[in-house]
Amino acid sequence: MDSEKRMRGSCDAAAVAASVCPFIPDDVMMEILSRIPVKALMRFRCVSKHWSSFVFHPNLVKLHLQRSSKDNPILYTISEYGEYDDDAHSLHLSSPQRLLQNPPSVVYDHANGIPILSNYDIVGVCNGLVCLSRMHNDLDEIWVRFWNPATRLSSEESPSCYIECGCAKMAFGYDASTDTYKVVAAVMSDAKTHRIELRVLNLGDDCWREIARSSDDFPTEISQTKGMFLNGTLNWVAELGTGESKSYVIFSFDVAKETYTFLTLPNVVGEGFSELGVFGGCLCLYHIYRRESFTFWQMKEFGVHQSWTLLMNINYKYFQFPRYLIPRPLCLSADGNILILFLLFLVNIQSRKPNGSYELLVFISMAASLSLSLPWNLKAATTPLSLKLKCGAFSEGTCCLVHNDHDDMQALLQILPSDLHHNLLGQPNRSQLLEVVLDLGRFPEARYLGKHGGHYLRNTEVTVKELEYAEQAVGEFGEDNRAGIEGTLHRISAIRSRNGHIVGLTCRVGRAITGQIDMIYDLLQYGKSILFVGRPGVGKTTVMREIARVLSDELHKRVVIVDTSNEIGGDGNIPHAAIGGARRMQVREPSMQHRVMIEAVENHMPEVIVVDEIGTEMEAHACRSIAERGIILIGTAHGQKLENIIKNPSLSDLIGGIETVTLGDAEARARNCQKTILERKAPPTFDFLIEMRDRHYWLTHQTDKSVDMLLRGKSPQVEVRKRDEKCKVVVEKSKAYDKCQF
Amino acid sequence: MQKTEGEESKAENEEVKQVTLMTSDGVKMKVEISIVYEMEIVRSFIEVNDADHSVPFPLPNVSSHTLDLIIELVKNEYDDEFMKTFSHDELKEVLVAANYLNMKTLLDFIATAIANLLEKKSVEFIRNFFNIVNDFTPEEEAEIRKTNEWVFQDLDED
Repeated sequence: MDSEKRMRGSCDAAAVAASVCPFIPDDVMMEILSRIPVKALMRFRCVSKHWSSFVFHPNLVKLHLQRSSKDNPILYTISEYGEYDDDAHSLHLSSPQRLLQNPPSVVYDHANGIPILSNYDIVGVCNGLVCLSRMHNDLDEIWVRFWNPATRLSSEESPSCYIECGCAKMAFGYDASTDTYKVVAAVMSDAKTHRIELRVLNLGDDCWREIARSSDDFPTEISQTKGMFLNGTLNWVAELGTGESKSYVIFSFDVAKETYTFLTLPNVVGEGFSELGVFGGCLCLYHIYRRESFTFWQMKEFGVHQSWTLLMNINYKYFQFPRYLIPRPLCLSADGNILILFLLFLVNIQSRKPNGSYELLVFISMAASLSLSLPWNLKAATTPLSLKLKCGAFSEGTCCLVHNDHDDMQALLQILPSDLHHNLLGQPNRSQLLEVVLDLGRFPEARYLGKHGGHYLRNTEVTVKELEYAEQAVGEFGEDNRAGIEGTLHRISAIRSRNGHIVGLTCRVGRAITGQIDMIYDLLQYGKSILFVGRPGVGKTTVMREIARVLSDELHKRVVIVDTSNEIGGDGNIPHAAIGGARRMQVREPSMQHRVMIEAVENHMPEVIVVDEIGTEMEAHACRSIAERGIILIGTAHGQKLENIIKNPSLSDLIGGIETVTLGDAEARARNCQKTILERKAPPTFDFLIEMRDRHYWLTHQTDKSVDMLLRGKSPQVEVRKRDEKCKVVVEKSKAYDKCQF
Repeated sequence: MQKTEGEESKAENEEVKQVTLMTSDGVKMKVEISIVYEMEIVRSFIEVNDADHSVPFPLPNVSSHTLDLIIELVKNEYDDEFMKTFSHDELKEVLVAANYLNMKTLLDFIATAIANLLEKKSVEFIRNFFNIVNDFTPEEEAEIRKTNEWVFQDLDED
């Protein structure tokens, strides 16, 4: 062992000297970045163009959120600063501990405050993302914006939600199944009947959707101003019925399903002031009865009535503050059997300051500690602090990376009839939307990934006008009847009638999906040419895009993309960021693609050429000529399998070309075959051929070996690359080709 | 005890089983099975095939030097002090190898170590560390730095 160790030691020096910086795939990079605080990640956006967006990669955001500590509650407060400037408000993040130890430090900490506009109220905080709302001066409209204090990025103002009368009862929640943040507003839509309506806004959308009420029970009044988010639901205290039959319940709205249900309050809780909060990961209720008693309940198990537990019951006479104040719990900490409840009181003292603004006073009145073995021990610490604290919200989450990430859906919606927007945005599986089909005289149809058949978006036919409108919005179609939307990866294709009018449109959603590169990144390191085949929609173009980016940005190669219908780099003259530093050459006419390919080689000295949809013999020849110059080719071709390419006379050159050979009698007998056989003519242009059977199921051929085997009627050995349930790439070597069934 | 017998040709008959791994630079290394079991990629293969452990299992993406470091790390129960002697390249190689070998504890350990190393470092340090080319123009970079001034405070010396 010792001698072996020494021997190895001697090659260590050589190994270190020869080591080059290893290529770190994206998913491994995320392992590192997900453990780095948000502030540092914001700094790392400066590293390169790729990193500036990579930091907000959805997978990284999710991983970062999972790794963030949920242990330290954060107190969000808005306070006013500056004597006269009405607009100067700041949002602070602090901890309940700090508030207790040194209350002024929490609101006077201007150095660490985040300036925001005045008149914003905090609707709620979810995964560290803050939702702020603002009411119009006439009180008939309300709008929201989203704020991430950790990244200091904020969204634009949302469209406004109209309020007929009363005020909007809002709440902010998160649907983990679709990674969507939603704001729900319960508003009164009719002043006479007091009918309440629910409206929902998804973060990133531009419209409030109305949620259908089922005919039976619906609250007559939602008493709580801000709903509480827990377990994927938003919860408000609400009233059912009126007069004699009035009862109090919890109105619970499922953020993902957009349905509602009712939960019951503790049996003894009825008339009086009730409000919900979330403490210790449970729904809690505090109830004040006739300014006589204050009770605090915890629903230990969500939705289970029997689990309501009384944690605290104080007579009002122990409170050392005016009776008209409403105490609100701020924090609940379980420390052994000691339970501490902090109360924070907000009050607007009617003392007009010289400059005309109201001063808001905060009483931090009491810290009550409860030990199960001791009676209530109230530490009365009534110190009226003249703090200018406007409002507070409390979250058990922590700083996170959540980013106001607009998908490009809005751009696509612009060209579709406006009555379809609602339906498309409201679909829970909207992130799976593949395409929208508009055919004259038929119902508009949406197709989703992983679902067979379409889904009608409405039950009226598409009209000539709507198609004309779409045509105008898209702009000019190319000779191939395709067009893109500037700055996005969407593709619009037209079907024309004999006289040239558009009678059908296919609007294909283009997404800058990343994260497929790990399926083949080891193959890229060989520096060999790769051809991808597979049915339409399997993700060929997406892979092209990502390969272009990885080869150029991470492996530092000079990459040129010959982008026939602007599908890889998107429409517009500045290519989409998803291709990284690769250069893109547009093709004026699809039939000229082969010329542009040669032009790319002659003029721009590429090390890699990426070309989508090799379809003609001329293009196949251009590929051969490029490959012969030692340039790496990454391409796609029509066909589902390798056999399709072999049998396609215009494309067979890509895999070496096929010729008929007549054998001598002796040879034929020796081989025990017919006299005329098929043979591969030349070395293949592409060293590897990948059959994409499915998004996550790829077969890798070594082209020369596989073609030879297939021509002899045998089944070649292939390498299967697929993902397991955890999305980890699994490579199975030497599988028999004919046994590979997806 | 294991060390003296590791040399024996009949190692597979002894109590401490060893598996031979073949690294990218062609070195055959005998590794204790307890360490090999942390490598999911090898473990799944051994368990399914119950193979003859003397036939080297190829690891085309891991060099002998990296494998040495990994074995030492596992033997030392992920000792921070030992890891601090690693060069930047060694850290990255162990990281990539841990991912390839699917060693969860090691990946967690090494990713945390690198994250701690980078947390307070400047943008230039990060570029150097990962060998990333800055493709921003000086104007673009100045603009980003200006709008995000708050993130460039309290940094370590590179």
